[in-house]
Amino acid sequence: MNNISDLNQINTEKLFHAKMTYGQLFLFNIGNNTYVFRPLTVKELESVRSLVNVVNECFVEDWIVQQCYVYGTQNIEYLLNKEKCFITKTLSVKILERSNIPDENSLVQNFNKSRELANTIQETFESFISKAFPVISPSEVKDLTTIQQINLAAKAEVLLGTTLNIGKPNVREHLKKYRFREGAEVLGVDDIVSPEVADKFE
Amino acid sequence: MTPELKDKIDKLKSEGHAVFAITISGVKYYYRSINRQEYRALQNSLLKTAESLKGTKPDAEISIMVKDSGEEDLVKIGLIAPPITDNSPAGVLSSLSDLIMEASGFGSEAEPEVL
Repeated sequence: MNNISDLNQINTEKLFHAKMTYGQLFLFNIGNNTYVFRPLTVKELESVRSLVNVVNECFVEDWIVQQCYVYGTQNIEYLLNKEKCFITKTLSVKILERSNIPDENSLVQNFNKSRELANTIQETFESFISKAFPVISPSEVKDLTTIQQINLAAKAEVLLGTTLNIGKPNVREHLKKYRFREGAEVLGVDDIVSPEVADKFE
Repeated sequence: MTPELKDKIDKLKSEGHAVFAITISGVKYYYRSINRQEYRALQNSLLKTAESLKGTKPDAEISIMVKDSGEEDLVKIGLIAPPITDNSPAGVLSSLSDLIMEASGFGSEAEPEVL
Protein backbone atom coordinates (compact mmCIF):
# COMPACT_ATOMS: atom_id res chain seq x y z
CA MET A 1 0.00 0.00 0.00
CA ASN A 2 1.47 3.30 -1.05
CA ASN A 3 1.01 6.43 1.02
CA ILE A 4 0.04 9.60 -0.70
CA SER A 5 2.61 11.75 1.01
CA ASP A 6 1.87 15.29 -0.10
CA LEU A 7 -1.88 15.38 0.49
CA ASN A 8 -3.04 18.74 1.82
CA GLN A 9 -6.32 19.40 3.61
CA ILE A 10 -8.24 20.22 0.42
CA ASN A 11 -7.05 17.13 -1.42
CA THR A 12 -7.73 14.91 1.58
CA GLU A 13 -11.30 16.17 1.67
CA LYS A 14 -11.64 15.64 -2.08
CA LEU A 15 -10.32 12.11 -1.69
CA PHE A 16 -12.74 11.24 1.13
CA HIS A 17 -15.65 12.80 -0.71
CA ALA A 18 -14.86 10.85 -3.88
CA LYS A 19 -14.52 7.62 -1.90
CA MET A 20 -17.90 8.18 -0.22
CA THR A 21 -19.55 9.09 -3.50
CA TYR A 22 -18.10 6.43 -5.79
CA GLY A 23 -17.10 3.65 -3.38
CA GLN A 24 -13.95 2.73 -5.26
CA LEU A 25 -10.90 4.74 -6.28
CA PHE A 26 -7.87 3.83 -8.40
CA LEU A 27 -4.37 4.94 -7.44
CA PHE A 28 -1.72 5.03 -10.19
CA ASN A 29 1.99 5.53 -9.59
CA ILE A 30 3.55 6.67 -12.84
CA GLY A 31 7.17 7.73 -12.74
CA ASN A 32 7.42 10.33 -10.02
CA ASN A 33 3.72 11.15 -10.17
CA THR A 34 0.73 9.76 -8.32
CA TYR A 35 -2.80 10.04 -9.66
CA VAL A 36 -6.13 9.01 -8.14
CA PHE A 37 -9.20 8.43 -10.30
CA ARG A 38 -12.75 7.35 -9.67
CA PRO A 39 -14.51 4.79 -11.87
CA LEU A 40 -16.90 5.89 -14.61
CA THR A 41 -20.55 5.71 -13.62
CA VAL A 42 -22.85 3.43 -15.60
CA LYS A 43 -24.35 6.46 -17.36
CA GLU A 44 -20.90 7.74 -18.33
CA LEU A 45 -19.86 4.27 -19.47
CA GLU A 46 -22.92 4.01 -21.72
CA SER A 47 -22.13 7.43 -23.23
CA VAL A 48 -18.54 6.40 -23.94
CA ARG A 49 -19.72 3.16 -25.55
CA SER A 50 -22.16 4.95 -27.80
CA LEU A 51 -19.78 7.75 -28.82
CA VAL A 52 -16.47 5.92 -29.06
CA ASN A 53 -16.89 5.18 -32.78
CA VAL A 54 -17.95 8.66 -33.82
CA VAL A 55 -15.69 10.85 -31.68
CA ASN A 56 -11.91 11.14 -32.09
CA GLU A 57 -10.30 8.50 -29.84
CA CYS A 58 -7.98 11.10 -28.39
CA PHE A 59 -10.91 13.23 -27.18
CA VAL A 60 -12.64 10.22 -25.62
CA GLU A 61 -9.46 9.38 -23.69
CA ASP A 62 -9.09 12.98 -22.52
CA TRP A 63 -12.76 13.09 -21.52
CA ILE A 64 -12.47 9.93 -19.41
CA VAL A 65 -9.36 11.18 -17.62
CA GLN A 66 -10.90 14.62 -17.05
CA GLN A 67 -14.17 13.23 -15.69
CA CYS A 68 -12.56 10.73 -13.35
CA TYR A 69 -9.61 12.77 -12.06
CA VAL A 70 -9.79 13.09 -8.28
CA TYR A 71 -6.26 13.92 -7.22
CA GLY A 72 -2.77 14.05 -8.65
CA THR A 73 0.71 15.25 -7.79
CA GLN A 74 0.27 17.04 -11.12
CA ASN A 75 -2.96 18.87 -11.92
CA ILE A 76 -5.43 17.88 -14.62
CA GLU A 77 -4.14 20.57 -17.02
CA TYR A 78 -0.68 19.01 -16.85
CA LEU A 79 -2.14 15.56 -17.44
CA LEU A 80 -4.10 16.72 -20.48
CA ASN A 81 -1.34 18.82 -22.02
CA LYS A 82 2.13 18.22 -20.69
CA GLU A 83 2.18 14.59 -19.54
CA LYS A 84 3.73 12.03 -21.93
CA CYS A 85 0.96 11.43 -24.44
CA PHE A 86 0.55 7.66 -24.05
CA ILE A 87 0.33 7.89 -20.25
CA THR A 88 -3.02 9.65 -20.58
CA LYS A 89 -4.07 6.94 -23.02
CA THR A 90 -3.04 4.15 -20.62
CA LEU A 91 -4.87 5.84 -17.75
CA SER A 92 -8.10 6.15 -19.73
CA VAL A 93 -7.91 2.51 -20.85
CA LYS A 94 -7.32 1.27 -17.29
CA ILE A 95 -10.14 3.41 -15.88
CA LEU A 96 -12.46 2.12 -18.59
CA GLU A 97 -11.46 -1.51 -17.96
CA ARG A 98 -12.05 -1.23 -14.24
CA SER A 99 -15.35 0.62 -14.59
CA ASN A 100 -16.67 -2.21 -16.69
CA ILE A 101 -17.79 -5.72 -15.79
CA PRO A 102 -15.84 -7.61 -18.44
CA ASP A 103 -17.62 -10.98 -18.57
CA GLU A 104 -20.39 -13.05 -17.04
CA ASN A 105 -18.09 -14.80 -14.56
CA SER A 106 -16.88 -11.52 -13.12
CA LEU A 107 -20.45 -10.27 -12.98
CA VAL A 108 -21.55 -13.36 -11.02
CA GLN A 109 -18.50 -13.00 -8.74
CA ASN A 110 -19.28 -9.34 -8.06
CA PHE A 111 -22.93 -10.11 -7.51
CA ASN A 112 -22.10 -12.87 -5.03
CA LYS A 113 -19.86 -10.46 -3.13
CA SER A 114 -22.76 -8.01 -2.98
CA ARG A 115 -25.03 -10.81 -1.76
CA GLU A 116 -22.62 -11.51 1.10
CA LEU A 117 -22.53 -7.82 1.95
CA ALA A 118 -26.31 -7.60 1.77
CA ASN A 119 -26.51 -9.96 4.74
CA THR A 120 -24.60 -7.67 7.06
CA ILE A 121 -26.49 -5.73 9.71
CA GLN A 122 -25.59 -2.47 8.00
CA GLU A 123 -27.13 -3.57 4.71
CA THR A 124 -30.18 -4.94 6.50
CA PHE A 125 -30.65 -1.55 8.16
CA GLU A 126 -30.35 0.25 4.85
CA SER A 127 -32.90 -1.98 3.09
CA PHE A 128 -35.28 -1.98 6.07
CA ILE A 129 -35.27 1.81 6.51
CA SER A 130 -35.69 2.34 2.77
CA LYS A 131 -38.63 -0.04 2.74
CA ALA A 132 -40.37 1.85 5.55
CA PHE A 133 -39.45 5.30 4.23
CA PRO A 134 -39.37 4.99 0.43
CA VAL A 135 -38.16 8.57 0.02
CA ILE A 136 -34.83 7.55 1.54
CA SER A 137 -32.72 5.43 -0.78
CA PRO A 138 -30.31 2.83 0.70
CA SER A 139 -27.37 5.02 -0.30
CA GLU A 140 -28.95 7.98 1.50
CA VAL A 141 -29.30 5.84 4.63
CA LYS A 142 -25.49 5.58 4.54
CA ASP A 143 -25.34 9.36 4.97
CA LEU A 144 -26.94 9.01 8.43
CA THR A 145 -25.01 8.37 11.61
CA THR A 146 -25.28 4.95 13.26
CA ILE A 147 -27.50 6.36 16.02
CA GLN A 148 -29.79 8.02 13.47
CA GLN A 149 -30.03 4.70 11.63
CA ILE A 150 -30.91 2.78 14.81
CA ASN A 151 -33.62 5.33 15.69
CA LEU A 152 -35.07 5.20 12.20
CA ALA A 153 -34.94 1.40 12.16
CA ALA A 154 -36.96 1.33 15.39
CA LYS A 155 -39.56 3.65 13.84
CA ALA A 156 -39.54 1.54 10.70
CA GLU A 157 -40.45 -1.53 12.80
CA VAL A 158 -43.54 0.29 14.07
CA LEU A 159 -44.50 1.52 10.62
CA LEU A 160 -44.09 -1.85 8.92
CA GLY A 161 -45.40 -3.90 11.85
CA THR A 162 -42.38 -6.19 11.44
CA THR A 163 -39.60 -6.90 13.88
CA LEU A 164 -36.18 -6.47 12.40
CA ASN A 165 -34.49 -9.85 12.28
CA ILE A 166 -30.89 -9.15 13.27
CA GLY A 167 -28.42 -11.95 13.86
CA LYS A 168 -29.11 -15.69 14.07
CA PRO A 169 -31.98 -17.07 16.18
CA ASN A 170 -30.71 -18.09 19.61
CA VAL A 171 -30.86 -21.90 19.55
CA ARG A 172 -28.34 -22.32 22.40
CA GLU A 173 -26.45 -25.17 20.79
CA HIS A 174 -24.34 -25.75 23.93
CA LEU A 175 -27.35 -27.13 25.78
CA LYS A 176 -27.67 -30.02 23.34
CA LYS A 177 -24.51 -31.54 24.83
CA TYR A 178 -26.36 -31.99 28.14
CA ARG A 179 -27.74 -35.47 28.94
CA PHE A 180 -30.78 -35.11 31.21
CA ARG A 181 -32.03 -38.02 33.22
CA GLU A 182 -35.44 -39.14 32.04
CA GLY A 183 -38.15 -37.39 34.02
CA ALA A 184 -35.72 -34.87 35.44
CA GLU A 185 -37.15 -31.49 36.26
CA VAL A 186 -34.98 -28.47 35.68
CA LEU A 187 -35.85 -25.58 37.91
CA GLY A 188 -34.83 -21.97 37.94
CA VAL A 189 -33.12 -21.81 34.56
CA ASP A 190 -35.07 -19.39 32.46
CA ASP A 191 -32.67 -19.86 29.67
CA ILE A 192 -33.51 -23.54 29.30
CA VAL A 193 -37.23 -23.36 29.82
CA SER A 194 -37.75 -20.49 27.42
CA PRO A 195 -40.18 -21.49 24.66
CA GLU A 196 -37.53 -20.80 22.08
CA VAL A 197 -35.29 -23.55 23.40
CA ALA A 198 -37.70 -25.92 25.07
CA ASP A 199 -39.46 -27.03 21.94
CA LYS A 200 -36.19 -27.83 20.24
CA PHE A 201 -34.58 -29.70 23.11
CA GLU A 202 -34.85 -33.48 23.34
CA MET B 1 27.54 17.44 -28.50
CA THR B 2 27.61 21.07 -29.61
CA PRO B 3 26.83 23.83 -27.08
CA GLU B 4 23.74 24.74 -29.17
CA LEU B 5 22.44 21.20 -28.97
CA LYS B 6 23.15 21.05 -25.24
CA ASP B 7 21.19 24.29 -24.71
CA LYS B 8 18.32 22.95 -26.78
CA ILE B 9 18.23 19.71 -24.77
CA ASP B 10 18.38 21.60 -21.46
CA LYS B 11 15.48 23.79 -22.58
CA LEU B 12 13.41 20.76 -23.59
CA LYS B 13 14.12 19.08 -20.26
CA SER B 14 13.09 22.21 -18.38
CA GLU B 15 9.79 22.09 -20.30
CA GLY B 16 9.20 18.59 -18.92
CA HIS B 17 10.25 16.46 -21.89
CA ALA B 18 12.29 13.32 -21.40
CA VAL B 19 15.35 13.35 -23.70
CA PHE B 20 17.17 10.25 -24.98
CA ALA B 21 20.01 9.36 -27.33
CA ILE B 22 20.49 6.28 -29.49
CA THR B 23 23.01 5.22 -32.08
CA ILE B 24 21.50 3.73 -35.24
CA SER B 25 23.77 2.66 -38.09
CA GLY B 26 26.66 4.58 -36.56
CA VAL B 27 24.77 7.86 -36.19
CA LYS B 28 23.83 9.22 -32.78
CA TYR B 29 20.23 10.50 -32.70
CA TYR B 30 18.76 12.65 -29.93
CA TYR B 31 15.02 12.42 -29.44
CA ARG B 32 12.42 13.38 -26.87
CA SER B 33 9.00 12.38 -25.56
CA ILE B 34 5.81 13.80 -27.09
CA ASN B 35 3.32 15.41 -24.74
CA ARG B 36 -0.44 15.12 -24.87
CA GLN B 37 -0.98 18.52 -26.49
CA GLU B 38 1.39 17.67 -29.34
CA TYR B 39 -0.18 14.24 -29.74
CA ARG B 40 -3.69 15.74 -29.92
CA ALA B 41 -2.58 18.16 -32.64
CA LEU B 42 -0.93 15.27 -34.51
CA GLN B 43 -4.09 13.15 -34.28
CA ASN B 44 -6.23 16.03 -35.58
CA SER B 45 -3.91 16.59 -38.50
CA LEU B 46 -3.95 12.87 -39.38
CA LEU B 47 -7.72 12.80 -39.10
CA LYS B 48 -7.98 15.70 -41.54
CA THR B 49 -5.61 13.95 -43.94
CA ALA B 50 -7.69 10.77 -43.76
CA GLU B 51 -10.91 12.70 -44.35
CA SER B 52 -9.48 14.56 -47.33
CA LEU B 53 -8.41 11.26 -48.90
CA LYS B 54 -11.73 9.52 -48.29
CA GLY B 55 -13.29 8.30 -51.53
CA THR B 56 -10.17 8.98 -53.61
CA LYS B 57 -8.45 5.69 -52.73
CA PRO B 58 -9.39 2.32 -51.16
CA ASP B 59 -9.69 2.51 -47.35
CA ALA B 60 -6.79 0.08 -46.81
CA GLU B 61 -4.49 2.28 -48.88
CA ILE B 62 -5.59 5.40 -46.99
CA SER B 63 -4.93 3.64 -43.71
CA ILE B 64 -1.34 2.79 -44.76
CA MET B 65 -0.75 6.34 -46.02
CA VAL B 66 -2.02 7.84 -42.76
CA LYS B 67 0.12 5.46 -40.71
CA ASP B 68 3.24 6.40 -42.68
CA SER B 69 2.41 10.05 -42.44
CA GLY B 70 1.84 9.62 -38.69
CA GLU B 71 5.28 8.04 -38.23
CA GLU B 72 6.91 10.84 -40.18
CA ASP B 73 5.10 13.58 -38.25
CA LEU B 74 5.90 11.93 -34.95
CA VAL B 75 9.62 11.88 -35.79
CA LYS B 76 9.40 15.51 -36.98
CA ILE B 77 8.19 16.50 -33.52
CA GLY B 78 10.27 14.14 -31.42
CA LEU B 79 13.63 14.11 -33.20
CA ILE B 80 15.98 16.75 -31.84
CA ALA B 81 19.09 16.08 -33.95
CA PRO B 82 20.42 15.26 -36.48
CA PRO B 83 17.61 15.64 -39.03
CA ILE B 84 16.56 12.74 -41.28
CA THR B 85 17.87 13.23 -44.81
CA ASP B 86 17.35 11.41 -48.09
CA ASN B 87 20.59 9.56 -47.39
CA SER B 88 19.49 8.26 -43.96
CA PRO B 89 19.12 4.46 -43.84
CA ALA B 90 15.61 3.29 -44.72
CA GLY B 91 14.71 1.87 -41.32
CA VAL B 92 15.80 4.85 -39.24
CA LEU B 93 12.51 6.71 -39.44
CA SER B 94 10.50 3.70 -38.36
CA SER B 95 12.92 2.83 -35.54
CA LEU B 96 12.93 6.40 -34.25
CA SER B 97 9.14 6.55 -34.40
CA ASP B 98 8.93 3.43 -32.18
CA LEU B 99 11.51 4.85 -29.77
CA ILE B 100 9.69 8.19 -29.50
CA MET B 101 6.44 6.36 -28.79
CA GLU B 102 8.14 4.31 -26.09
CA ALA B 103 9.66 7.47 -24.61
CA SER B 104 6.14 8.94 -24.55
CA GLY B 105 4.77 6.16 -22.37
CA PHE B 106 3.52 3.79 -25.05
CA GLY B 107 3.12 0.26 -23.74
CA SER B 108 3.15 1.42 -20.14
CA GLU B 109 1.42 -1.24 -18.06
CA ALA B 110 0.66 0.86 -15.01
CA GLU B 111 -1.76 -1.15 -12.88
CA PRO B 112 -3.77 0.84 -10.37
CA GLU B 113 -4.08 0.07 -6.69
CA VAL B 114 -7.74 -0.02 -5.68
CA LEU B 115 -8.52 2.23 -2.72
